[in-house]
Amino acid sequence: MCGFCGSSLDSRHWTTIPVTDARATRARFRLAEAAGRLCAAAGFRLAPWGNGFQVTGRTGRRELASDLAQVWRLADRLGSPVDPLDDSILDRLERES
Amino acid sequence: MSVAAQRPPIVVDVLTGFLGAGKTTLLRNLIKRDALPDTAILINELSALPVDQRLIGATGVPTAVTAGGCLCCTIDGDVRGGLLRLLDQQARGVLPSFSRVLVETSGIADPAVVASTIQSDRLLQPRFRFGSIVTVVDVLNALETITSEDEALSQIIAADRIVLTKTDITDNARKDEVMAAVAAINPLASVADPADTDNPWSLARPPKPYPASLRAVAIDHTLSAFVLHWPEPVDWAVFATWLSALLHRHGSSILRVKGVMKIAEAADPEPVVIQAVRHVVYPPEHLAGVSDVAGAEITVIARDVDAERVRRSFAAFMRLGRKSARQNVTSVSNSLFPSSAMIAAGVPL
Repeated sequence: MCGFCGSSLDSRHWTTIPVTDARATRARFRLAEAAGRLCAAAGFRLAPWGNGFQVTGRTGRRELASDLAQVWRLADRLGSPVDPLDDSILDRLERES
Repeated sequence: MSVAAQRPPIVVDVLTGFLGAGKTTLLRNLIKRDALPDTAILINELSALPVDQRLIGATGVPTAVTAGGCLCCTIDGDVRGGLLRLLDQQARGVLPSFSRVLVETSGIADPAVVASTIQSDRLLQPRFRFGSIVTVVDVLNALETITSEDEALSQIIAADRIVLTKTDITDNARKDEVMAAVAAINPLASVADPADTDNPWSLARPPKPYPASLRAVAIDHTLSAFVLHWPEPVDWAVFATWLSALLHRHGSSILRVKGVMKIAEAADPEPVVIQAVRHVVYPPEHLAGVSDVAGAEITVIARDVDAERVRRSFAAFMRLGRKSARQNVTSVSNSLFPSSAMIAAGVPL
């Protein structure tokens, strides 16, 4: 655990395993950017933070997550569950693309 | 230097199959034929009496037993403890050196839990690597157990290889019927008769980790297998977002995912293999020696899921990735340097 930002330093979630040529920091930023679009469609915000992510719920409450699995669990807890098969989310993503 | 840094990870394979399918008989025959060199065997027993271990132990192969529980939790303490005990005994010279571990699960176990245990445990993770799942299917009873026992179906769906047993006491028509059924349930697994091979682990993995032209196969009204296609290289961040969210929400319905994809941000021409058994995703790996994959081809086995909805979702995300790739083309090519957006976001560099 990082004493400064509170994020986990040794997370090995499968989404963090490097498969691209990007450096780890950029890869995490890209992950936050991509997941952030789904989070926005579900009604909350996601930003890179430390070695992980910061989730901001509808009420402004902020929590840290070390990987995307934690992000989706936090979304459930914050009352904004994410379902990539949900029609309204898909409609929004299809408009964006 | 740590132990993990000194030695390559020990590969953990799983032997599973429904109660009475013939796992222990197969294992004993493999041991008799010296088909499992350099391998320690870990037996997970349902009953408090470790009968299987007594049978296997009589052969002199290093064994440990995790009596008292079926593998039904996300992290299985018995398997974890068993693996660590084997490692400790190897380090102390109590057991001869081994490079593989074969876990024989109890008959009603979910084999994906072993993969989950290895990947989520910080002590196991650097020392062990999950290998493959071999499922034993008894041709005499398979058609009944598949339809009546969820565990039997899960074991077939999770398999990389399926070994048919009791083929010597049944007719060819029954064997063909069972082969057709398991191939329809899990088109990703190779199927072998033990008479055809000395060792199921010596069977080559399917030449490609995906069927080239799988047609959607309806097993029954709830179970289906279908393929997701994308013609272009995949934006990894978008794909990782999609799959992790999908399995978080629908992991109990998306029973198996296996596919191969060319990654857009990677200079390496070798594609990446992605595999999941329900909510457990194996670490993605580059597929050595393959360079003819232009996009993505992913097979999904699911229950109570609308395949068209999954296709629509996958395509929507892939289109987002295509758009991101166009927007990021400049910054990706300069990926050695932090972008202004990263600095503005306060990302530690």
